[in-house]
Amino acid sequence: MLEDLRLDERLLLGKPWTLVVWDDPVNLMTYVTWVFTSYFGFPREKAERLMLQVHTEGRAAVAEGTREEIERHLEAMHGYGLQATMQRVDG
Amino acid sequence: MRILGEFHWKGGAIERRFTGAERKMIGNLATGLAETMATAEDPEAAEDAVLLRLLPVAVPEDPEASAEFADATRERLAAAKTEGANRVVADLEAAPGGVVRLDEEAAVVWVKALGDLRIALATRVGIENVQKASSPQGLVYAWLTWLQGSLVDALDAA
Repeated sequence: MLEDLRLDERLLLGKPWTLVVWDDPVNLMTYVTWVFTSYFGFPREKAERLMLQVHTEGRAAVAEGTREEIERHLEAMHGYGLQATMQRVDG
Repeated sequence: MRILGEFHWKGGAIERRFTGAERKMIGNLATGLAETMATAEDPEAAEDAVLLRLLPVAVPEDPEASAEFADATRERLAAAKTEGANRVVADLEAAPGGVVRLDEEAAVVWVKALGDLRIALATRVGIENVQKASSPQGLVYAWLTWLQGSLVDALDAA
């Protein structure tokens, strides 16, 4: 029953999207961490872990949600000057 | 402790004294950024490296979704970046004795604008060139990097 509801919700909202932040040579590690804590409200530990993932792996998935939600986050990231893109989950 | 003139908290605001030369340098860079942002909707500027970096493609594998995102956000983002750069210049011009005092809202505008100025400079001159501190642009870039980092530290201490 609950599973069915979740499926309905998913069909209604469409496939989820992911916000990806990419490494870039300019933005400071402290600045990226600050963006993650102040904009997303992530705890410092999570913000630092994501920042390090961006730095060492070249990218990190930072948020998942509906297209509308992720577009809003993406506009904010571009406002902060972060190199960010969005992509459909599973594709 | 403050030997280089970091941003620091004083009386409920983040403060720093800027020299005339520093104000002029930031003013020049900010004017350049505002000029670039003014061309954001100009088809002839579509390949401008600074615009491509500061207003990047949203969905690399989907041109249609990227175009929709750009239609909805590009003008607003360009205006916000222009506004940020102009705000920094206005705050510097209004600073008595060069002392800028920022509340937290203003500090957020500043830290974003300083980042945009660094990105624009590194994109125009080339990251390898600005990372060489021996060139004039490299010195400016290194100073801006230090300045932005000092403001991030102050915001973290809020």
